[in-house]
Amino acid sequence: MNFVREYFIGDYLRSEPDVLRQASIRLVFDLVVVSIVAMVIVFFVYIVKGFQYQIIKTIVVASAFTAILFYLKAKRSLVLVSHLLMVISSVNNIMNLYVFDEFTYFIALITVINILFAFHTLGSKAGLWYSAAHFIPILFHEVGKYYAFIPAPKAPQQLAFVESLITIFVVFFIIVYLIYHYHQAYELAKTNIRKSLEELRTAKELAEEMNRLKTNFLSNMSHEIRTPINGILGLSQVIELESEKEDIRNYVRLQQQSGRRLLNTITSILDLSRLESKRNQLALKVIDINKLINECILTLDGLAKAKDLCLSFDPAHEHLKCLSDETMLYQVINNVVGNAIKFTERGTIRISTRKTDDKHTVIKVEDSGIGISDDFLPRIFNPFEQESSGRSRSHEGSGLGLSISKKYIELLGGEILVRSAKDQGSTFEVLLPLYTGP
Amino acid sequence: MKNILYVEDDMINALVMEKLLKGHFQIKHVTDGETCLALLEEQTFDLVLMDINLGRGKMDGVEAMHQIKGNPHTRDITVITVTSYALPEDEERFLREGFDAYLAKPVERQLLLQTLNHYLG
Repeated sequence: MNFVREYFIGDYLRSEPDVLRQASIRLVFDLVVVSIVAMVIVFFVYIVKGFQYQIIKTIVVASAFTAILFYLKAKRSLVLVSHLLMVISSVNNIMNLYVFDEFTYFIALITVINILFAFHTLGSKAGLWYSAAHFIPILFHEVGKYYAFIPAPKAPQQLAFVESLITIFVVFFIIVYLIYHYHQAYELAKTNIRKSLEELRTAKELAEEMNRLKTNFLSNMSHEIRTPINGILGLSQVIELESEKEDIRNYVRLQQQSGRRLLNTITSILDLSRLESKRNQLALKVIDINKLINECILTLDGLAKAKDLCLSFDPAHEHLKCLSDETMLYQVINNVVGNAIKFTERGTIRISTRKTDDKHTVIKVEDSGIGISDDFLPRIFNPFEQESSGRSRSHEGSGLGLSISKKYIELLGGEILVRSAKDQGSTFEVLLPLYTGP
Repeated sequence: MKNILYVEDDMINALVMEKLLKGHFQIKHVTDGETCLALLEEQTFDLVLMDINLGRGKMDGVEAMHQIKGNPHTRDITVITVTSYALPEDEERFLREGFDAYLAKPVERQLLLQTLNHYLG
């Protein structure tokens, strides 16, 4: 059987990556071969026992199957082939029932093959309907015979003993083979799934290990950067304390400013690169949004006062609770409000919270600052971008704050929106899902 | 003047701390955990400032702090960590370990004095 299979559909099998589909193709092919062999045997039985009309049918079906096998090798389209087979065998069934008026074992055999093809090519649901439909002509015929409105057989036929033995054997063989084959396919699928699971687990462990290494590396890097910066900034503070000369003190103050800026940039870059590992370790808890904003305002109020800005907070009346990572959310609010203070020279910064619907809340931060031009607005969340860059850059900062904020808020299941126009101030809105549990 | 023991393996950072606290606190500097524990047995200190990374293969600051807090003679001494491990989750991690307070490097003199005065004032 292997040799025949290899000759007719070898290439097709090899090009098909799915093991289950390969198994199905093999099954269909083997059954077709078995039917042909059976019919050839029946054909010889007829030759020995004398010709009967049954032979016409046998030859028709056998040659049709053979033709289809060649077609299969040429076109390699199993779906079309099996549809053709279904049509031919249905015609054969009807021929048997209405022309020869005999429900032979061949009908049983062909019906089994049809049902198999139907499931194989049409899928389980359509296959079920198609198989059920096979019952109709047989039922109709048997009922018609019982109530005698089917005309008498044109040429009544006695089934030869050998013929009936062969067909019984073939039908039996096919049923056993079917079950055997599908059981094997099932075992194969099971082994494959187990293997894939094993591979997935290995891949996952590897990814986790890489993530751990990366986290470790970043943590060490942060440590190794901060240690010398402590030396630089610390000694700078010492000089500021101990020097008698005003200009030297001024220089080291500037040095400290630069050092702190460097530190902020490094911290932000590390935060950005740690986002991936963060996804797996959000420290989620229920947070009172208004309370968190109040804490944030407390630390930023000094900055606003130093620039003579009015920082106001108008909280929603109801409790706004959300399930979030407090450190990350705090960092976002701190960033957005900090930006508002940084880019506003006079006027007010208004923070407010509102419920937008039953499930969402919005934190709004409005300022009366320099605003954002239309050109820059689409790029505002890109890392390292600042509206005034290069030497004309008038505002301190790495340009990473908003891109980190956006990534954080997205990790937390929210959204950050901005509306602004040049010299008209800006409005940032942070949308968050509310916590609706107890 | 209150006595502070500073455990730090980096000489420059030790110098910085000494200079920043000059005139406010008496500061004694040691470079590793073992010396720190030995010294605490002999002398009394009001507070320990502890670096975490004390050199490869040596007892780290967390271990030293656990030993200080585990010893009935020394367990009432305030142990504050001054460390370069300053990722967002580090503060919580070290406080959970048992440090009384956490200061990140680079240290700001004002915050440093404020914290020390809070525990020693």
